[in-house]
Amino acid sequence: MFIVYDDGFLTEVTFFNKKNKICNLNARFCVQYAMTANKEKHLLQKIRNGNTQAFSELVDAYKNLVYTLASRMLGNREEAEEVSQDTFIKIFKSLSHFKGDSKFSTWIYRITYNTCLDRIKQNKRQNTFVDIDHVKDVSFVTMNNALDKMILEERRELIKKSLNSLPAKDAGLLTLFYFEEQSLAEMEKTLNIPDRTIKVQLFRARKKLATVLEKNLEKEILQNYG
Amino acid sequence: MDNNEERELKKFVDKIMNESVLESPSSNFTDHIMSQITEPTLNDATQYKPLIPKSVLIVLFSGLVGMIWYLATDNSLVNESWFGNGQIELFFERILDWPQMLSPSKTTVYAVLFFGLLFLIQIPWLKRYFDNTWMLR
Repeated sequence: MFIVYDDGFLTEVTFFNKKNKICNLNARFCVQYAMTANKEKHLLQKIRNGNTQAFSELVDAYKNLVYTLASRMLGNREEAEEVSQDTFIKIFKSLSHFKGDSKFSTWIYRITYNTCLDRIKQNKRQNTFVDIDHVKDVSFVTMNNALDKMILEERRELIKKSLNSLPAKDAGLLTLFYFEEQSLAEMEKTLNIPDRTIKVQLFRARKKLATVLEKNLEKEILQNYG
Repeated sequence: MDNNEERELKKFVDKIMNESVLESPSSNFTDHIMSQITEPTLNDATQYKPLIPKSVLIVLFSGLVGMIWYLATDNSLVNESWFGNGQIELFFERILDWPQMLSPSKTTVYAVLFFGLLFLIQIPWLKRYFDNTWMLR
């Protein structure tokens, strides 16, 4: 089975087979928000030529991705909306600097990620600390079973809550990793960090997510059945 | 954490991230951005811009300084000090007496006066014109 989707400049075909099951998360997003490479190029040209209204199409295509990343990093709806708007205005202003070295989506993610970090620095918010030393004891089988028993909506809500309560950088890293189809090369361009460091940071972020999720799951179970 | 556990962790997180959905901002998100983007271009139209650009002013100013310099310098001044009484008088004499050096004809004088008159007439006329245009807004 394969799904054809397009996110940005490249039209890609992702194969799914038993051995190498590539996460279809981004594919799902992009089928919904598809914009062909040619259309995007054409749109960018239009905006550069002074057609401001064409920018709204670009905003519509990327607003959910930008907003989701901001919301997970900042953990707050209102702030995320504000930062997303700032991000798009920044994108509009610096559109002439985009040379096409990376995918357009990667460029957008980088601006979003940096704008979020700036906002966090501005607020001087204390980073949430997640203790990851006891992750050894986490039983993924038990957690999987518990999650499987929940209704889809409940499960999504729990995952959202857990992602929002992660430290901003970890939440951003995890979200970007799946937006970028798990490509470390694209991540390198987005974050400007060597891929080895990203790998280590990703591993820690995963651990933190598992820990937070386990805590939230326990709370949920206690509330419902305790 | 050994490799096996690491793989399990990755599998688990992959599954979780697969289940997560994209969030969407408020419904008027795009309109809000577009209004912010188009706003500055409206302001540009009424923004104050000096009538004479800076570069022209610089050229005019340096021209004026150059002219004063040209009128004031004379071979007789070169070897003497600038601050003697006689020298300063000579300096102003040279600068203020330049029209005499030109010895204009009567026609030129009338032309210059007529030009000045027309220039002055424009002031009330332009004032009324601008008053009317801006008052209507």
